[in-house]
Amino acid sequence: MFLPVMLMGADPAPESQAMVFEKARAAVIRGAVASIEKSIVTIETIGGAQPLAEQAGTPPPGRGGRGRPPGRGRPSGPVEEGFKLADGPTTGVIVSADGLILTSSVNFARNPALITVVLADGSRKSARLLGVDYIRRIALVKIDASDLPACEWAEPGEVEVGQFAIACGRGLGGEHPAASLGIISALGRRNGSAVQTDAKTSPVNYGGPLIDIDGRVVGIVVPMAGEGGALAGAEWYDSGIGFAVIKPRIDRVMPQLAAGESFWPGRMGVQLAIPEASLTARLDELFPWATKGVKIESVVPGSPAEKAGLEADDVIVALSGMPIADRMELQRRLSDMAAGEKITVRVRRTFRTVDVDLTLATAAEIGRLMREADEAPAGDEATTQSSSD
Amino acid sequence: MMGLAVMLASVFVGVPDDTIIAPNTLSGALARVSPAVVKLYGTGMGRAHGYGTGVLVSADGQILTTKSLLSTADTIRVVLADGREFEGKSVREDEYRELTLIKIEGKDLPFVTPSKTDHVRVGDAVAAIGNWFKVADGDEAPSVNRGILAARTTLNARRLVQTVDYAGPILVYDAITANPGAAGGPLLDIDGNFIGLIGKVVESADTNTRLNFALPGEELCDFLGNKASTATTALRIASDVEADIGIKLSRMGYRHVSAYVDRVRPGSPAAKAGIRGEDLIIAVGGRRIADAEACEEAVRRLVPGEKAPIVVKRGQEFLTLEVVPEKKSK
Amino acid sequence: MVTTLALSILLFASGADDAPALTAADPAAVAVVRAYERARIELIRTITPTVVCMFSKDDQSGGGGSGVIIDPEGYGLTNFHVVAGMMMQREGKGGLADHKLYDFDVLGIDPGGDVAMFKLHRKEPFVAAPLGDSSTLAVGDYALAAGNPFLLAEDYTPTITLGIISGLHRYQWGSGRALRYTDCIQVDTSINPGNSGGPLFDMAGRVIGINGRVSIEERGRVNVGVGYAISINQIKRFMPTLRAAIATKHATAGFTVMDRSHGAMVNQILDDSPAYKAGLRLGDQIVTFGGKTITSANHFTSQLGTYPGGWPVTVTLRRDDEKKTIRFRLEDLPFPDVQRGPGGTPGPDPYRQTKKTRVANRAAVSRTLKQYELACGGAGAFKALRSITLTGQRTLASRPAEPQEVRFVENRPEGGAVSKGDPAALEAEIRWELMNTALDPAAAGLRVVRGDEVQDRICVVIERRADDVVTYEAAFDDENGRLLGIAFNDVASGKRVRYEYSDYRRSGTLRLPHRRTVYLDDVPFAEDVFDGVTASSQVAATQAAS
Repeated sequence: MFLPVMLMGADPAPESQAMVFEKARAAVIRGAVASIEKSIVTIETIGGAQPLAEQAGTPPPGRGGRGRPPGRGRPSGPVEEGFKLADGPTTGVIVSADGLILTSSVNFARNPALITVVLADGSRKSARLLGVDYIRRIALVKIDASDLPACEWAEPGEVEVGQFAIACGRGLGGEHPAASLGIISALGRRNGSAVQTDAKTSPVNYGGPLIDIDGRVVGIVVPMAGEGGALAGAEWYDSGIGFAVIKPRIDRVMPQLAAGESFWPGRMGVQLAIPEASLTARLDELFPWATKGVKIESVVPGSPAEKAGLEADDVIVALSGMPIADRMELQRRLSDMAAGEKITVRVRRTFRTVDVDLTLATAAEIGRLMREADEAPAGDEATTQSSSD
Repeated sequence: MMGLAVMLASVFVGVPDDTIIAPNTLSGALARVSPAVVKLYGTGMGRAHGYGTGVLVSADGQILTTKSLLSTADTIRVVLADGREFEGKSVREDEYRELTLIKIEGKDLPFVTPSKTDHVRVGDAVAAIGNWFKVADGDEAPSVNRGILAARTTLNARRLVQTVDYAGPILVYDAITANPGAAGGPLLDIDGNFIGLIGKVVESADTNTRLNFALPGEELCDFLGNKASTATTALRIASDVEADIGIKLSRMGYRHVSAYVDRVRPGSPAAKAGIRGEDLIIAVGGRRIADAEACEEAVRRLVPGEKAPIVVKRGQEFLTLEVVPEKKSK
Repeated sequence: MVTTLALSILLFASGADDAPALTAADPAAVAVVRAYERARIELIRTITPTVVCMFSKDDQSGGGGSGVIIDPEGYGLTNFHVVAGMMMQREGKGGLADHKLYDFDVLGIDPGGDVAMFKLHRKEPFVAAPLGDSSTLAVGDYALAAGNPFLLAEDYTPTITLGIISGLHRYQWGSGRALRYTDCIQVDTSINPGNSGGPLFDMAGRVIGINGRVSIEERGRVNVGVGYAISINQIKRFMPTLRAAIATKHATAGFTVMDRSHGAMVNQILDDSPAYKAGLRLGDQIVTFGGKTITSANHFTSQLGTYPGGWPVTVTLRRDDEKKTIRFRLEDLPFPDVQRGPGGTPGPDPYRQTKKTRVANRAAVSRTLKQYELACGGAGAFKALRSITLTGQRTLASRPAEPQEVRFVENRPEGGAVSKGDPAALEAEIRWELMNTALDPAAAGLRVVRGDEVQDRICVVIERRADDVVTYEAAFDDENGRLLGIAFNDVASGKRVRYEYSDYRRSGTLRLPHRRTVYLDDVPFAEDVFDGVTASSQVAATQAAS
């Protein structure tokens, strides 16, 4: 009999101890989903156009181990199919009793004519899209309601690498949300706006909650940052690399989103020089202070950069107080800054240091300016110029 | 209650053993089922791969696997877990469930029997065994991936542009099995029960993403017991009949148009159900539809004579109306 | 009694729920899961500082991979393909979880097996990860991967993923002779581009593999649940040379096999190969190879791929109905051609010796001798040592039933070159020279020449060369530093003299071998078993050794 062994204090055989853990884990997963379930909604969209298909073979940032910089324009290895958004239901999370619902911007890539929200009790409501943060890939939707069960958030400072993480989504339909189990893989990713998880994230759960074992929301699941438009990164679903945007970052944009404002990735309007590999290495040894930063190859006429007085051959060494060592760091920092945001750019010009203020523009505006100036886009500050955001 | 919780917790935390941090709970289950897992090899063509996995379900050599180009070949090379090779032939197939029964001449072979799945719930650990990417050869063990049951739902999927007919129950999990060579391998629960057969590589029509799923044990038992599926879709496919409810959707000239009802034929099933002009059709038969084209397709696939719910948006309201479709007249 | 009842109700109640609704878990279950979760979080905390985000020095925006520190001095392991583009200067930068970047040098490379060793530089010691034993792994065991997939680690904190061992002893084709993964570990732990070179940990926080490859199909370069890691037990055989910045070749057997009744049969053999000379013939069935029972030709090929060239192997073979055991050395497989620079242009010769590699070799010698000193009693153990007295019995192989009492007294020599005296005197001098050199490694002309297996232990072999003549070789246990063997040529007899040491035991403050076996041309000559080994800081009165 199992019980007397337990009471006598002797450890049960390791195998049955392990099985107790398995059953407990399964029960805990169910309990966590049960706890969040009432705050998860299904979002259905009707109408709208399929967004421009992502450039086939767009690599994710960094290529891993082959020494080749990303975004050289030519895909290598098997050609990835461009990701096409499906028509199925998507997921959202109730964040206020009066009907504010967070979800992912990718679910609205088609610019739908009609948005409906199905609550956990099956009732259907019309919804309107308030604001979209295309940088953090989240969107705010509103339904008219009261007394809705808003989700409970985990304490951001208490989330730890290695803790269980469950991604929940309504993308497969059914009575309960689908659950996918993983761990928290890293904190403070994507300029501190997201936690990373190896739970499988995909259109099944984009916009849904990533929860802990107590059913509290650690973040809102969004696609991996690709480069380009609305669907960027969605093709990397189920890769074991998933992201969830955390509450502190959402809180920073919530007032504007609720007021109907959106955030688009900001651009300065410069084309960056690609450094000569071996040359920089020698210089780096001799003059380490002189080679940090990113050189500007040219400035787009009429762009915020030009208006602020930036010139070709200026070397960008800091953005709004944050030091910039290289191209990758520049792109990363910039990727968290929105069009309309005022930033300070510090450049090294010959032997002087110059600070300029500029207001970032959207990629679409820069593209327009470039077309007007009859320049062919190549090797610029983002590896793809996409205008669909 | 709390005292007990503390006691249980301390039993685990106190032992400084790596098996406690994450015990290998699969070894028992794998030991039970692995001897019955076979590697299959045949001819492939184009995107279809010429290799896969199967499960021995009888001591005399009946093997369950998915129906594919591989299983329809004249001879199939079957390699057992211990490396013994046999020649197999397909003896029975199920078009709807996409299952095949292969027979090899053997005796006293290790086998497993599909189990019922009502005890399996979301969150339960599952393990999938299969020879994806044909990494294993001869007596080498096929691969094992582990996950949890993510959802129980019905299949709504495509293989490239072709809609998959099977619309019955499936087990969806978060271990990746949507890889070449996986189909036909067993899905196990933590106790080593054979709860499902890994499905073929398909994309969910709901998400455009690869689905990691298995056909539940009940469907496998029915197939082995030679019970045809009574699923309505199966019947519809069998009888090759299309449904009609008597509505015409408005067309505006571009490809993707919302399913607004233009006209309702008087006396039609739609009229009897209360559908009106200018209603926007949101869902047909429990499945949300995206546009007019999808709506027409969904209506065609309903079963004449069987009640089906249709959700419409009328003004600001959402209504669910029950319609009984009739056979479409040519 | 009430307690029993409550216990039974609780335990059985947790499993009984058959309603389809999802319900809250009972607190006992949550407590159990939280305990596991806490233990795993703590484990990850201990391994995180050992993970390196690897970058090339000149272009951090470019490629990158991962690595793991395995020695507090900064030695680490990665994939060869992660550092292949850094072979011009053999330098790179590694980011650690302290958010700082450190310089590293690329030491030895193994392009055939896709392994390389690097050394990070800083004043303070590094946190190093212990090595595990990949031969004890089972399918279903959990395994953690750590690294920098897609270069997501902005602050160099690694990405941690969890999965299980999906398969063992897997084979993955390389490109030609390069980057072959033989006898490798398959995992469903998520591994993506950028994870290359990073560690695979067991749940005790020990490195059991180095991640390097994934299987991919139509979806492109994204993980689909199938990743591969080079087993740590394979890498251990290469570590002695990699640490000394020696490019290391893989092995060829001198024969090939084909499948034959659940095993492998020799179907081709070169008659000038060491295997042939040891007695292997066409048609022989290979029963075991390197201690592993061989079940197929593939299995043999996979096992062979885990050895460096020159490694000794024991093979049991079956011929007709008889079993025979032979031992021979594998030969070298030529290096693969991997001269590639950025963008696929011809690059520098990665196999060339440079000033850096010579310095690294000397550092490896220092490290080995330091380890030797630690093994014998700790830092400074040799400093005060002036004499060693050994008493016991010597048994000659020619007279096994007549052991003789022996007593050897050795005083520390003043210095000077090791003489070309009689083997016994020479052996003692060599041992003392090694102990002296441990105190001052820069002095002698010692260098690492290869790895080897002595007494079933992986060893680093150091040679002493004077005037371009090899004076002797010494083999040290690569894991614990013990001196396991010394070998040299005896000018007088023309024979190769080899001493092996075992049965290390405490004597006073030191730990010294209590058994010494002498081989002449690999034939056992004599065995000394000492019951008393005394080390002293005083000079001892000598007596003639018998």
